[in-house]
Amino acid sequence: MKTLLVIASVLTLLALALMVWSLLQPTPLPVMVAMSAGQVLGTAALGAYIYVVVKDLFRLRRERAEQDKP
Amino acid sequence: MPTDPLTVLSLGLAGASALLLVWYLLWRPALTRATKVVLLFGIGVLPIGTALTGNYAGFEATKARHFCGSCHVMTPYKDDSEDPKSLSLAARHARNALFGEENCYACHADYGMFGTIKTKAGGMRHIYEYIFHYKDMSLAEAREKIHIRKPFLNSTCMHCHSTENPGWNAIKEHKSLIDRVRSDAVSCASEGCHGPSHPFSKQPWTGPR
Repeated sequence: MKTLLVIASVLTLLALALMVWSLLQPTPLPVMVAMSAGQVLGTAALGAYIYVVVKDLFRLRRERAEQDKP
Repeated sequence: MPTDPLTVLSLGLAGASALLLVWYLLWRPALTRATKVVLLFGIGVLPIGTALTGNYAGFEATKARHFCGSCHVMTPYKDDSEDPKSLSLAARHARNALFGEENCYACHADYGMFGTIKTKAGGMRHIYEYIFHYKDMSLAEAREKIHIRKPFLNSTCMHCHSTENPGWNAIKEHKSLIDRVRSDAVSCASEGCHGPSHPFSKQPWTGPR
């Protein structure tokens, strides 16, 4: 789980770097790369984060249910 | 250094997001509720804000003449637009404040409901063509080979020059050709009317080879 969050963080940093590159140098290549690869990396990172959080919520719910058992 | 407020906002959001992520990567805290909230901002809210503002700033940047001129094959067109002495249709429109720095986009954009999307999709094709076919081409060769993909539609001109104005209709050539102009049978930018828009591209090459 933690590894996935680290990967998501690194992917987000890469996506941000591409977006910042396109903002500082608005020429065709950076703008295209930011709007394609940048968006894909950012979306993948967000997907990984949501997966980890949802999985963690289910784990917490399962643990609570086990604790509540008589 | 960027001064456009949207670009500055986008850079600020990216910086804030990067700070949160670097903090997480350095400290690797346990996955508590607080960590989840921090990461929600670091991976979700702030990067989405960066993408939204950055994409808008990117779309705006693609309208600028220096963006079009950043592909070397467009340099003569950009230089002509920026030449205060040029009498070409493109240069005269560039000197009009309504077109200004965005004169390439103003004349080559598709108008209508999905015009912006169609224009941007066409622009992607231009970049593909440039990277795979024209990147290493000389200016002389490019000028021979690069042509506008579709005939230039008069509807683009009519976006401003409506053909309804009495002053426009007072010109006898306009009056006699009005139906043919409106139906694109005669181009406003044709030789003998107001064109060609980039006359240097129709003359023999005199620049470096």
